[in-house]
Formats: sequence, C-alpha cells, structure tokens
Amino acid sequence: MTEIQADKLAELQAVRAPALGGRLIRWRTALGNAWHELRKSRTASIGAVMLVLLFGACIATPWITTYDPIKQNYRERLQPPSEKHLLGTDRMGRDIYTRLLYGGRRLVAIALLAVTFGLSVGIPYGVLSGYFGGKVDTVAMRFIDGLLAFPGLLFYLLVVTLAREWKIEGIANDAVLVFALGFAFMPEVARLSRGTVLAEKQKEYVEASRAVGDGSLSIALRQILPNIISPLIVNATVRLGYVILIVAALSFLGLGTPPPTPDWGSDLAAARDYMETAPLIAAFPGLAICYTVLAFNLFGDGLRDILDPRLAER
Amino acid sequence: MAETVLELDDLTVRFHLRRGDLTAVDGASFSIERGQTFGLVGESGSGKSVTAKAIMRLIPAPPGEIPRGRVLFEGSNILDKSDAEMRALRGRRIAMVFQEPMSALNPVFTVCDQISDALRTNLGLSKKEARERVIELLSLVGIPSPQKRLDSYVHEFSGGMRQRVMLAMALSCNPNFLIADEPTTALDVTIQATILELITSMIERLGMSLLFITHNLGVVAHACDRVGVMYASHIVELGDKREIFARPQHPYTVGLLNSIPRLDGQAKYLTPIAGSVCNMMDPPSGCKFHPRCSHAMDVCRREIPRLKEIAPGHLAACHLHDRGTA
Amino acid sequence: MLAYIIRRVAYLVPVLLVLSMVVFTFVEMLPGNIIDTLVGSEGVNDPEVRKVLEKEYGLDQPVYIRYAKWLIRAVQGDFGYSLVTRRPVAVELMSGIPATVYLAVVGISLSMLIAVPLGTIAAVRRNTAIDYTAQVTSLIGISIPEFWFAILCVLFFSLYLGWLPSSGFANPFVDPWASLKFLILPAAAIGFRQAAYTTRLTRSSMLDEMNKEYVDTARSVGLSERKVIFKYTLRNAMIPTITISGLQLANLLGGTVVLESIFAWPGIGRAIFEAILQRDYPLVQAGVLVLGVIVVIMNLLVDLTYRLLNPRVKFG
Repeated sequence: MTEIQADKLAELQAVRAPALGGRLIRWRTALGNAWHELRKSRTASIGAVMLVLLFGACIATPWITTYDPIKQNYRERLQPPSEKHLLGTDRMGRDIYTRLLYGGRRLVAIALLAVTFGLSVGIPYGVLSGYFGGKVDTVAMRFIDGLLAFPGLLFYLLVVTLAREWKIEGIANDAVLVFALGFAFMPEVARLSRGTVLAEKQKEYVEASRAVGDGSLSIALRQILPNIISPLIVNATVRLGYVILIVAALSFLGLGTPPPTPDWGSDLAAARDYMETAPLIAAFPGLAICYTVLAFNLFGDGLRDILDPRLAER
Repeated sequence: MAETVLELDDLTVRFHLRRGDLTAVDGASFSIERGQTFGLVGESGSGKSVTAKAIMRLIPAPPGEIPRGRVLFEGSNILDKSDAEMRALRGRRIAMVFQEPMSALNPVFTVCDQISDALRTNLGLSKKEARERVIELLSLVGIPSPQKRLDSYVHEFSGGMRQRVMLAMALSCNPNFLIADEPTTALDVTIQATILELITSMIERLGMSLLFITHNLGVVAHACDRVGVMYASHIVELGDKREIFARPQHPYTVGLLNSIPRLDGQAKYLTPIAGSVCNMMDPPSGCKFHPRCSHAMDVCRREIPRLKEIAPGHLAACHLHDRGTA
Repeated sequence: MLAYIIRRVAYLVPVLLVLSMVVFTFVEMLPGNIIDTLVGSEGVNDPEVRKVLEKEYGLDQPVYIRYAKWLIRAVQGDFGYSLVTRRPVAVELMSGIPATVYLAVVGISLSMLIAVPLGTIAAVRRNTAIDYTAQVTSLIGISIPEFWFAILCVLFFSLYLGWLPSSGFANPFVDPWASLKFLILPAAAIGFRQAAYTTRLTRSSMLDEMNKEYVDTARSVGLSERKVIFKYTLRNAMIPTITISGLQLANLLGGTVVLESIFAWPGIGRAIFEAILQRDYPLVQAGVLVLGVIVVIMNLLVDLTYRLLNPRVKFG
C-alpha cells in the first residue's frame, strides 16, 4: 500500500469510528430480523432445531454422560440397549451413548475449526485476487486449480499419511486434520469470493462510489464484502456436513484418529466385525453421522431459500 | 360488418401467494372486433400482461385462479375449454408476441427448430416443408438472407431482429388474432418504430385482429383503433382512440396524457400524477385511484366505480360521472 | 474451436505442475527416505553402503534436480518400482484403473437413470406427494455416509438375505454373470448417493428453467405440454446437470477408496490405500499423480462438453 493510500485509509477509519457504534446496532436488529426470517423457511427451522440440539449435546456432554468413553469393561461387552446403557455397549464394553457424544463433540469441533480456517484463508485470497486482477489473478487461480485437481479423499490420504509417519498424535493429529480440511475448502471459498468481487467490480454503484471520491479499498470492504456473505454462509454450512463425512471416512479406513479416541468413523469400522452378532453397534454411529450431516444440509438448504430472493415465491 | 372476435366479460384473475392473495385483474370487460387493433394501456403492475396471459390461458393454475368471468373467443368461452382444445387454439387461431425476445425464445435451439416445431405441430408439415415455410416467414418479417440465418441461435441476432423472429413464430400458423405484449418496450427507440410498422402492416395484410399491450401512449396513438386504460387491475376507461385522446374522462387518463412531454412547446411543466401506484397486496378501499386523484370525493373512498357509458362507445369508471345519472 | 482447445490445454500445464509438485513434496516431507525402507529395520547402517545406495537413487542431488528427473520419467510412464511387489508401478496402476473406472461409470450411469426422471417429475409436479418424497429421500441420501450405506447393504442383502456376495470382483469380459453379482452392491452404494445429489440438481435446474419465459412461448404456439417439458425445458436444464455430473464422475475416481476397501474391489483406490498401509510410497505418489491428471483432463472434457451443449457460451 502506498503512503497516500495509507493516509487515506487512516482518514476514512477516523471518520468510520463513530459509525461503528451504529453498525453494531444495525447488527443487532439484523440478528433479530434473522430469527424472523428463519421461521419463513420450514427446512431452515427444522435444521436450526436439529443443530441447536446437536450443539447443545456437544457442549453439555460432560454433564449428560456418566461413563468414561475410553475405559474398557470386558464384563459388559456387546450389551444391547438397556436401562444401564442407553444404547448398549461396544466390543470393549464401553458405553456407546457416551462414545457417541464425545465423538460428536470432537467431530463438530474439528468441522467448525476447519471451515473457519478455510474461510479465513480463502476470502482474502479470493477477494485480493479478484480485486487486483491481471497476472496476479491468473497465477493465483492456477494455483487453486492445481489444488482442486485432487479428487475425493486423495489429498487427505496424503496428509494423514504424513502425519502418521511423523508420529503426530493426539491433539496435534487433530490439528493436522483441521489444517488439511480447511486448506481443501479454501479453493472453493476463494473462487466464490473472487467471482463476487469480479461481478461487483462491474457494477454501477462502484463507479458511483468512485465518482464521489471513495478510495478503492473502502469500496472493496464496504460494498463488496456484504455480497459475499450470503453464498458463503450457505456453502460453509453444507461444507460442515461434508467435512464430518470426510473425517468419518478417514477414520473408518483407520487413517484418521487412532483408537481409543471415540470417533464415529472408527467405531463403525470396528463394528463391522460384529455385524452378525450385534448389528446394532453399527447402527448408532451411522445414525449419528446421518443426523449431523442432515442437520447441516437442512439448515443450509433453508438458508439458501431465505437468502436468495428469487426463490421467494416458490 | 363488425364481428366480435374477442370479448372479455368480467374477467378476474387472482393469485394466492405466500404473503397473501393478490387480485391482478378485477372485472375486466372489453371487446375486439375483427380487423381491429385494441390498445391496452397501463403502468407496470396494472394487470395488462396478466390479462393477456389469461386470454391465452397461460396463467399457472396453482398460484393463479380465475374465480369469475368469461373470455369469449369467436363466440365460445375459452375458460371452459379442455387443455387439448386450448392447445388447438394456440398458435392456430390465437398467437402471442412477448416483450423480451431474448428470454422468450429458447437459447439452446436454432430459430428454424423453434418455428418448425410450431409449424409441424399445428399444420402437420414435414421437416422439409417446414424449413421452407420458415424461410418464407423470415423474409416476410424482413430478416435479410433468411436461408443463412435459419440455423442461427437467438443470441446471434440483434434486438430488433430477435423481435422479428418472435413475430415470425407467432404468425407462422396463420392465426387470426394476435396479442402483442409490449413488443417494443425492450428495444432501442429507433428500432421501435420499425417493429411497430412491421406489426401493423402484417396485421393489415393478413386481416388479423390485434390486442396491443403497452405503457406507451405514443404507440397507442399510432397503432390502435380502440383503447382501454387499465389501472391497478381495473379497466378505468374504454373507447375509440380519438375520443379518448381528445376527451379523456377518467382522471388517470387525463394524468397520463398530461404527463407526456411535448415538443410543441404547449406545456411549460411536466405534470406527473401525484403519488405512486398502490400496493396490490393491500389496495386502498373504494376506487383504487382515489389517493392520487385531485377530484376524489367521499364516495370514491367507499365504492369501486363501475364502467359507465359516457358517450356512445366511450366508457369510464369514475364517480365524477355519477352525478348526471339518478 | 481448435484454438480454444489448444489454449485450454496450455492452461493445464501450470495446473499439472502444481499437482506434481504437491505430490513430489509429499514424499520429500516423509521422515527418513527410501534408503531407510530398503535397508530395513536391522539397520545396515554402514555409511559406505548408504552412500552407494544414495548415489543409485539419486538422493545426493539437490531437490529441484530430483524433481525434474522424477517428472521427466513420470511423463514417460516410468514411475519407478513398487517397494512391495518390486514390479513397475505403472503395471500396478494399470491393473487398478480399469476396475475403478468400471465401477464409477456404472455407478454414475445408474444414478442418472434414476435421478433425471425423478428430478424432472418432482419439478413438474411441484409440491405434490411425489415431490416431497423425492426431496426428502434425496436430502437423506446426501446425508448418509457412503460407507455406512454400503455396510447396511451388505448386512441386508448379503448376510441376511444371502442374495449377493459381500465382496469380490470378477472380470466382466471373462464371466459377465458373476461380474454383475459382484458389481451390484458397490455400484448401488455409489449410485445411491450420486442419485440423491443429481435428483436435487435436476429438480432445481428444471424449476429454474420452467420459470423462464420461453416455456410460455412454446405453450403459446400450441405445443403439447409433454413436448414443452421434455424437448424444451429438459434440454436446457440438462446443461448444468450434465456438466456437474461430469465433474462428479471425475471426483468419484478418487473417492472410491472407501468403497473399494469394503468390497475388496481391485481398483486404483484400494491400491493406493494398501500402498499407504504398506508404506509403498512410489506407488502412492504415482497413483495420486495419475488420478490427478485424469481428473484435470476430465474437467477439460466437461468444459468442452458444456460449451458444445450451450450455444450461448462461445469458444472465447
């Protein structure tokens, strides 16, 4: 940024400061409106309720479970659902209900972190790329295309293998997962952001702003950013569900979380061996995944309906 | 000898939307004789396009509904007809030209494909015959080198040319009634006149009747015999073109005529109509124009005025004209 | 059009370079190196031997030279030798790719056969029972993890009913009947999720198109409703659907890993997975690279198809 631009920016920020208070108030009314808007779409409402239950369960886990998710208890293995064990026990005598909740907590946390990471890297990347245009844009987009060339799970397989070889464990392992998942989400976010920037750059109000003397950067921030939010929120929501599917798949293959950490995917994999004797063990983790992904998908669908005014009368 | 081709009798079209019910057309009545051109004038949202679509029965049934009224085409009520009977009418006897040819024609099919489809469905022509007929039609509407443009796509034509294609398609099966829904609105001013000429000459040449929908009074002045003025779902004035332009009887019509900028220096100021079009989801009581009318009286707030004959063939829906009658 | 193709292919080069660099870096970032694996855990840690081996494997040269050498050989199809089977990696890959393609193509074709009609009907008969059913089912379909669905299928059709084998593969050219039996469950597992996704896509594309004016124009000319929907609207709605399905197919090639391991399907996904477990990194490297290249090429094909289908988008 040149000195002149920096000066201008400082000037604008000085003027903008009191406006921030106003913006906060606007945000609050926006949130209030949001609740009202949400109720317009049935899918969004159902999804929202499901999500609230999900997040509630994740947060309240220590208080709504009684057993230790890791401690083995061979005397009570493979028990069907009963009063003592709400959903039964698995092959090592661990309470399935408890494992599901702890597993969910971890998965949802990973998903949220990963998507947040993807957004925070992708948005600036895309916005700046679209804003500067020209060679910068071309190179930046080629790089993204290169990243997108990895089909399906392959990228994650590579990352996970590296982590394994470097003997990364525990929290660090999860961090690696978050990084890989976020990094894989980044191209989509960048593309979307860039697309919006390019479209908005053309529009007349940008010209009008410039005619009134607004600096380019403030145009970018004030006018363009709000337009990115709608499609990104929808994408991010759906991505949350998708990320959970990926993590579960990786764990299912034995490449994600090493045991005995509770994880829906690895629990499912372990349950395969007992399909004939105790098929229910395979049912619950699968249902948990379904529920979670469905919640995100419903909410994302509903959001899409609400945010896209074209669809208002469908 | 005047033969009535189209007669609307108390046509009412209602839409059931999420936010509420909307009556887009309320009690519309007018008639068109053979060989006549009828101009339906009104602002956006007045209900004129919906009227046209209702005549073609293109109103989608779930949100839309026609609770009352009749549309008599050549004597029989098309609202009573079956889907098959209606399909037989469309294209063959009634045809429509739409406002935006870029969206009204399919971008993925060639011009020849689209018009041939119409020809082969309605007239049973073979592929070859249809192709030849398309060439004829294209040159009829003034498209140069029709043999070459036959296999072009819609987006490869310019605006004016696209509208000609649209017209060719509408005329392809020799209908005797044409509905033109703002055919020139989306065009450049210079092209507008050309297309207008084209339409009027086609109508005359082929002996058709025309329902011309527009918001542009200038066009009406040029092309139409009779005029109907619509405001907020009602027909508020109806009559011969010259009558209406010379002696407008409804305040809205007066307002419309006054708000046309004139180049002959007679008016110093533009006098727009005060206020804005009412919200159709929550319309004003009584006469829908009363909030904007400088002559509004008490009765205007209470009762919706009915169309009354003021002079022979000239009707208006305004309480101002009640005073004379008992 | 040819000029466009050439230009697009030229654009591919940097993309492929990035791809290859990432893949190469992956191996570089592994702790230890091939020498360690070769030398084994007993640790013939004689520095002399190591130096000889290093020279042989070119590990004494700087990174970029190794990259260049690897890349040049890769382009010619020489991916080195598998650390496990000692056979050329290329051979291992070649045996796996057809099986994966077979599964993916059948899976997607099945899914489209179901999804396109279903999505169309759902759009045409909006807000009726069949629309709601389609919407709900497809929403659930995209929320179900593929591997869980696969397990359930195996549980039901294989263990419980005994109709189908739970895993395995037979060459369709050698024994078509057996091949079919092995194919059904994995193809269904893939197809189910794909069908759900494509149904939603078709439905929303159709709804978009049905609202457009040209549909009314077609009706106004007296065309039958069936013709209006199937010839005009569907043709337009298929453009985004086919495009995205093409991309899905490309993506599927790398996503069959899980299903291939459940059903013991000898595809490239499983080959890479087992190579990972066995630390056969030359194979992993080559496999990911080849799949990446295939995906990039398929994306190009999809793009070209899109431009062919949509006359509005020029070869600009």
